[in-house]
Amino acid sequence: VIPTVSDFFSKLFRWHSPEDLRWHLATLVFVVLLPALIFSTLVVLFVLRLEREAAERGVKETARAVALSVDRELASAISALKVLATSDHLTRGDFGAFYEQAKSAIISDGAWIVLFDETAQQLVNTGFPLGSKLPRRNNPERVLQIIASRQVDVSDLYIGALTKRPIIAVDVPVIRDDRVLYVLTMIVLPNTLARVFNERGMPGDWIAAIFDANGLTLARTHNPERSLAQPAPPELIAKLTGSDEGWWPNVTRDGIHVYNAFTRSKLSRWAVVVGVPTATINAPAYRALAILGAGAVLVTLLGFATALLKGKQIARSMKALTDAAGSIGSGTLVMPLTSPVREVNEVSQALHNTARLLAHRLKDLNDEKEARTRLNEQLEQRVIERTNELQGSNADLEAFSFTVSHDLRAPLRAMEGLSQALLEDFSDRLDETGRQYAREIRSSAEHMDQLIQDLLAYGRLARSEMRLSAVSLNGVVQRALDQLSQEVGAQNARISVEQPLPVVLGDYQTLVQIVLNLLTNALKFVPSGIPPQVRIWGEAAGDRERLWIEDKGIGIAPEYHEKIFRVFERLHGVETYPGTGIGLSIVRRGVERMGGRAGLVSSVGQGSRFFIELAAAKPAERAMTDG
Amino acid sequence: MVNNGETILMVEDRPADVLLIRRAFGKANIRNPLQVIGNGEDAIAYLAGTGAFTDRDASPLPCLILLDLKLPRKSGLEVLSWLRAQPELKRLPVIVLTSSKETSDVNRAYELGANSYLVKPVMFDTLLEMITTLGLYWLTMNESPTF
Repeated sequence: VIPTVSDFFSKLFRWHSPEDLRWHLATLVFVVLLPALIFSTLVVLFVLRLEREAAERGVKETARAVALSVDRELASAISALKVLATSDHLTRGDFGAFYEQAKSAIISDGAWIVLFDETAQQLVNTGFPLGSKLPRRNNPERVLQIIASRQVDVSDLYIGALTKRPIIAVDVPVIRDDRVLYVLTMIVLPNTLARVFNERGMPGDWIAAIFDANGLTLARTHNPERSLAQPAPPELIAKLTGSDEGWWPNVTRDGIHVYNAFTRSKLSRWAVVVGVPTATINAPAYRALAILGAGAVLVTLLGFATALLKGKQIARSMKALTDAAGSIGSGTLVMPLTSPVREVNEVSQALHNTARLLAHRLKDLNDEKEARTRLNEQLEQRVIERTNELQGSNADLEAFSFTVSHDLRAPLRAMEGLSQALLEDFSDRLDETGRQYAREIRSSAEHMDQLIQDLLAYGRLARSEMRLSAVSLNGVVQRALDQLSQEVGAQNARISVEQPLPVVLGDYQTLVQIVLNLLTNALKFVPSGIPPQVRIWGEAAGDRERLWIEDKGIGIAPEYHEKIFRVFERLHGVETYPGTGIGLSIVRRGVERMGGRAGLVSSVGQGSRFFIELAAAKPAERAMTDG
Repeated sequence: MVNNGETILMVEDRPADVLLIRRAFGKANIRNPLQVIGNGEDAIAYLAGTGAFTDRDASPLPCLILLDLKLPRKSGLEVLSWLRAQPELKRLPVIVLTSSKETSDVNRAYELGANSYLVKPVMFDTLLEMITTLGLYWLTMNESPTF
């Protein structure tokens, strides 16, 4: 699409849309060339004006020179006549002698001398032999005028009496004793005036003409024969009237456009008009303008072509740069460019350096990544190994539990069963000590069985997976109390549960085990013979819930508060308070596995308050449990 | 008195347990003949009637098997698995009588086709109660499959 000039300017002043480089360069060329072109045009126009003024001056001077030449011609004729007028032959009236004298005084061809008397009758005429019959002058009033004025005068054009042709007369009075005797006249054919044009050596295309005071043509460079005695065009006459000099454009009778310069002759009052064709005057101007225009076009074309060419070169370099920059992202090594634009080369070098740097960084990153991957793999491997080891020890633990439950209990069964068999089947053969021993074997076996059972329960608690859900502690407490109903009844215990009990996140079976253990302790550790009193209630502790179990039992000294939660830790002999020392360990381990904690407030003789603290169930889960 | 005349096979390696169970059978008044085998391999041989047990008069097919799990050479579970794969023996009622309360053992035994799973109690009184009930249920009330 070829942009129009208005496009160009609207783009020049609106930078919204980015243009390509060539456009910018073209703009630059345009902006630089435009003032230069305007300035040179102004200079050329100025020079042309000077030229034109010079031409005008030249033409005017030519006109003046022609006028001067005409005056000189006339002046020489007047001088010759004035000399003749003083001749003695005229004083004496000897016309024959005068005739000869006048003939010798004729200065050029096409001119002759005539002597008139006061009646304008020709007396002597050098154009005819002496004694010829001579007529009267065609314009006798001029003779009378000369006699009256006694002044030299040059006539306008008139028709000669003998020649019957247009002629000019230069008249001089012949004065004797203060009286005009004759009028001496030189008759000149107008075409002799044309000589003055040749004298000036005017260029062939110039047109010059001499008009008499009546506006009739005396001489003309073009068509001299046909123009003779022709009147000047009226508009020319209007220009000539009332002034001695002038300069104006005109169209000649021949239809040529000219500039006219005119000067009036001082001697004769004739007008010399010189016309120069407009084309001749303007030719250098047009030539200069043409050269300027051609130059401007050439320079502009050259400028734009250079802009396009350079733009293309730069654009190609830029494109190469863009490609290079683009390929940096993909990690390719970019080689430096050799472009005619130094800045492009510099950017390219910078890109090359950046790419190299990036490649290094990338390599470092990759190395780092590989190292990390290796490390991760090693870590993973180690985790797998550890997991395997753990699984191995877990399996070992399983095997251990199996052995404990299976193999350790088998001998106990034998001890228990066989000691009972002894007591039942052979009691008649044992004395009381023997029977006591057998009973002791049996109760030891039973205790050990309880120990093993509790240990297994503790171990299972450690290994088994906890599935936490909303559990109503009310249900848990009721379940535990059900299981203890026999003991409660036997000891005549008073147990009060303060509703409502909280709903917590926990494992139902584990919670039952825990509450059961705590309640068992509350029922167990009382001074002998006194009915146990147990109070159970709930309490919110932030976003967690506590279950309190309080007894009025024997209490625990503060220094033992931590100890009692450890496995096999006991504060009393088996004979006083039977047990394995695992119950509270199960409580703590179980609560901790459900994300809670257990503790107590107690002192000796003041009873004990145990609590377990667990996360509260969310309302939605609680609603499900209640429903 | 319980005695339907059919043999009960007890697979049990511990002499003390054998002693106690026999005593419990006596106290529970179960008079069925009781064959005791001490390891898994012999148990399979007995049931298959091979090796030392080819004489079916001396070692007759039992009407009930009491099977311990922890056994020398072949475990009780292996014996059970083998038994259930024998076309002519697979319907024999098997009561697992063992010390293990482990859930994995219990589930595995049922998966392999045990008819009942009992844990040997430490207390003899409890054992006696268990054997008495067992005799009443499996020997008197229960209808045995035919072969």
